[in-house]
Amino acid sequence: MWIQRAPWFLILALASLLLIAAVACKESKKEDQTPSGQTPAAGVTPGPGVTDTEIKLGTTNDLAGTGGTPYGVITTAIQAYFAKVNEEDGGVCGRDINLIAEDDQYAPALALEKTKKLVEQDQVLGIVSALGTGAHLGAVDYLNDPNGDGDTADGIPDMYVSTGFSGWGDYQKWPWTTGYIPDYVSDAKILAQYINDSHAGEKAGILYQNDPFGQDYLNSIQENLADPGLLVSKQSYEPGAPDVSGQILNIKNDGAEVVVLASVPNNTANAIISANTEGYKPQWVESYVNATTSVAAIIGGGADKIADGFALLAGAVVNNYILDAVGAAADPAMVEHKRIMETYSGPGVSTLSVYGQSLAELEVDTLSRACDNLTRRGLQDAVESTQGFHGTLMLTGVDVNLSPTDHYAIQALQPVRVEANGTLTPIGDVISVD
Amino acid sequence: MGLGFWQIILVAVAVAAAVRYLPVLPRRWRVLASVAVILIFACWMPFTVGTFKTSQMATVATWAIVAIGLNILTGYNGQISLGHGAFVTIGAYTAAILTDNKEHLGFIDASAWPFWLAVMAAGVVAAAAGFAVGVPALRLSGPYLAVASLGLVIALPPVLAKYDSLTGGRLGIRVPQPQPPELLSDLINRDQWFFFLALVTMALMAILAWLIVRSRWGRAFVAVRDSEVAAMAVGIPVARYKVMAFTVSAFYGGVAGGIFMTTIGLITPESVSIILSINYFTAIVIGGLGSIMGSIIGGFILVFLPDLSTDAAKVFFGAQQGKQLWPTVYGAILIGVIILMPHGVAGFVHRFERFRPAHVAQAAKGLPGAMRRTLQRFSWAWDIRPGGRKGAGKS
Amino acid sequence: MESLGQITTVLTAPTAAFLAAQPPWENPDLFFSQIVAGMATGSIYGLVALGVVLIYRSTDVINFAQGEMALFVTFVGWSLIQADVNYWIVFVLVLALAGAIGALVERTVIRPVEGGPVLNPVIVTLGLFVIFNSLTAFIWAQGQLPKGFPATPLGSQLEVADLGFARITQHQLMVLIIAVAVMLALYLLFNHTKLGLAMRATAQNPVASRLMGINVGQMLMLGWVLSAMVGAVGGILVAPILFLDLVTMLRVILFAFAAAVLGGLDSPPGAMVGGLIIGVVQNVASTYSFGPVFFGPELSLPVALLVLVLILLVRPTGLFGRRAVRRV
Repeated sequence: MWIQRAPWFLILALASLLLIAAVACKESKKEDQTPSGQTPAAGVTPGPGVTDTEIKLGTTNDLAGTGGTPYGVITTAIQAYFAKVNEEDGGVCGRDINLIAEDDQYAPALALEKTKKLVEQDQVLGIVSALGTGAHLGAVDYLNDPNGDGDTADGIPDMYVSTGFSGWGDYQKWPWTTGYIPDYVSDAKILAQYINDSHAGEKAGILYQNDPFGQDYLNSIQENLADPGLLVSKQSYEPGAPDVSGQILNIKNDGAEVVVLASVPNNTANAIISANTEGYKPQWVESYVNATTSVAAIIGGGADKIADGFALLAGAVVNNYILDAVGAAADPAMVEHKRIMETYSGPGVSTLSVYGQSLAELEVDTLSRACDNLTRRGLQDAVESTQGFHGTLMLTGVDVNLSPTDHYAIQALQPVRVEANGTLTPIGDVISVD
Repeated sequence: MGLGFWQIILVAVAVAAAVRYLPVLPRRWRVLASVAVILIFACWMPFTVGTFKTSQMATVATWAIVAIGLNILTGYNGQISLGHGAFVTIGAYTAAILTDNKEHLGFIDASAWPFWLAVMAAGVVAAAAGFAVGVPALRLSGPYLAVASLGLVIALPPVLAKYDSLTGGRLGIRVPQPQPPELLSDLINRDQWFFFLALVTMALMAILAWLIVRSRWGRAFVAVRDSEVAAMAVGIPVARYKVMAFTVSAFYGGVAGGIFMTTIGLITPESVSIILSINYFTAIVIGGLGSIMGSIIGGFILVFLPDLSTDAAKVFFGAQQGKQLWPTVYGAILIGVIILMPHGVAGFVHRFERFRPAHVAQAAKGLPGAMRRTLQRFSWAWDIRPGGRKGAGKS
Repeated sequence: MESLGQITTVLTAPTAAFLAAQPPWENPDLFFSQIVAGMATGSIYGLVALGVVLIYRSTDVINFAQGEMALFVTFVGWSLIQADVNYWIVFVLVLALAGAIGALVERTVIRPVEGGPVLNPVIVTLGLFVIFNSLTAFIWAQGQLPKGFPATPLGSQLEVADLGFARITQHQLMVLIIAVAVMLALYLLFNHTKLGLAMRATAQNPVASRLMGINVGQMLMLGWVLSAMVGAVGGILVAPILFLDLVTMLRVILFAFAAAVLGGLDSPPGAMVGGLIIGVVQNVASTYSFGPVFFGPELSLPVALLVLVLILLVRPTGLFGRRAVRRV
């Protein structure tokens, strides 16, 4: 019988064809559609992605970590909060929020591709919390001008982009894009103000990551220091560089007494340890991306050795805008946050989950103000008319204010000093650069 | 028509295979006819599947060009290059600098070059880079060459970021994207236009590759791959052909980079990541080394395997976990495919061509060790006993 | 013409850059500190490179998943440490787990592709890379990253070892010592034991080795087990310095490959030397060259890789590599 002689690869080929057919059947359920009219009539007709029962939003992020970032949990936290709103608060505008998340592996080409998929195939009302400066740069032009004809009237709301890149606030170039976290330029401005007030006349140095994040800090510090000539040492490192001890040695050699760390937690911790090894104890001034508890934990070598970490970190100055995941664990808002995350399969409580929920709270508030006009234009109008929004997890005094000419959401930060016992002492009041 | 994307692909492949293998016409006609079938489906597809899938197909065509070039270098000439992403990036930057309406370096003026010219220039500049890399590469081989080429793609982003007056630094260069010409602007939209640009370029580059491979150059490449010493003994200037292989494959990379940059409208130092550069290599090995069809399959794999893995992961692990575990499925598929099809998908298809029930037993005797052992393991399924059981006298 | 001026600058800048930078002898403290810091980092690259060399020497395969497998088991170690297990017990457990994973990988996915085309094991290791990376992200990236990992009880990251002319942390000193110890152990294994001879023979000519009575399958599996264990040691020692993150091993593994290739893929001392060279060159290049046009601290990475390529041009199989002769 020929079937007895059939080679195993024939069987395998049939199996693979069956698998492809099965996948194809799943794919065909999502029919591709050519984009419908991009400018829905103003008024009651809801925009794309809105039905009687749900509002569809999209987000792109490095979900599986293949791009090397751990920020996928932010999306999980946002989804958990939306699930809570759907279950406990009856949704928003009488509808459930459906967040469709796509993995862009932190690559601009893929971010563009997935954004196109979300807009054209899934027909979402808007994109929320797109993550990653480098990645989102690929998609931002498309969202503001989908068919590339120079007319931005038919854009898609690109809400609360999750990076501090200052370029998102350029409302003339990108009228549909709004930022969320305090932009790096504002953070650097407030840090420079602190240096001017408390360390006037001292030599300063800066360790910055050689990408738009670090360069925003470098430029803003140089602009805002009372005496830019005191910035004697500027050392950069490549994103992902394993070791910055060489740069710290150079900064020490240049004699800086105040050092700005425009670096991510890995390199910040590395820098502080290197300085300690060299017996170099400058005044550390850190970018707000360095959550104090996590930096202290990694300096110490684990959560149980966090005290060692705080011992080295003592005296450092950093800005905060949301509650600290560990330090404020007893705060009722944080307790509620933990409950929401645990009930709705959110991630463990961390800086990233707190961030995710606070962004989700803002989004729910925005949607609730657009109920009468659930179109893309209506949603963007609601975004741009946000005034004085205060999320449950934000520090007192930090509000969100947006307008058609102000696309930076959070522009208020509280400078704090880290103490040796791990507490954070506020320095002055919340500073707003709105 | 309401056909889904994958249904169309399946139908196209089935029709092309039928045309190719049914003994109706002489072989040469059948090959051309099956290629024509594929092209017809490719031209028809953008009008039925929607702009998202069309832009994905454009990316497939673009990466297929890279894969063809890399196949010329690795498949036909035997030099491993994990750093081909560097040539793609160089080509993309060249095209961007030429088309971005800004002045650079004093002699590149502000007027934008036409698309074809910019892409050709991108290819030429990348080819020059390929030449510069190919000369030192003569000294290296095997894993040493692989790591050195990987070093090239690792070292390129900091260099690009530093000379930011030329390259726009970390934020890269944005370019205005070409629109479809006036005549056709009612018939096709921008994404479909990009797809056709990519498709035409890929077809041209594939024909070029086919000509190269069938020419004296191609035979020399293969001779050098199989045995450098023997090739030298026969009088082939080995060094010249090895460098030529690098140059040609870099040209392909540069052209693809120019198209890639045009479809996105943006090029940054990290646009072509280290992982993507390694993936080009993976794609051609899985697609099939030494085969142009394999390169095109490689392009498909590069673009669609992550999505397919995500769908499969959702089936196995549930919707939430699936989104996070898709790379596990992706890796498993890669490993599975390479174990089952050691010569890639194209190699598998070529073997399949020669399938005759009576020949399989004969062929099984001559297969290399791994296949023979695997066949042995499953020989209960078909009752073939290649060379005896349990390691009797094989060596 | 502007462009002519720029081209001239590009050509003469390297010499000018080095002449104009602060010469090393003016500040010997900084110079030695940079070199020692570079060596500390370089010993990390060397330690991971030892695993690469081990697997290449015993199986003729480059394992691209080396770093991710080490990262995975180190994360397991992290979880155990969080559960208050004693450090040394965790060390042993992690090594055992790594060995088991290495054996499993060799038996299931490497064995089928060993006889076929040469490039296939590379693809398999790339697939493993993706799998381990994804599993690590799925299991441990749900909370805050990066995570801290304790140093050995023998010396922590926060205490300093003063060498007189330079200072490094006690843990970095331990890393250097352990790396050299592992290197010596591997060198002795390969060159002075029968087992090492058998492993080398298996890698070079499996057919002849089988004829000589060597159990090729066992030797290959042993190679994978040992290399996974060396990788795990690398992971545990590196984690306190670089902190546990998804990309911790990615940068390191790329430098480790460069180090292994630089020193010669079949030479354990070469791997260490290669690692030290790369670490020192990076630090030195970032301090002692400035330049608006050429070099400068942003280009310390390309400079290090350029040094690698230059050395490979002079010695195509690495500084201490040997197998340059191929039979016709």
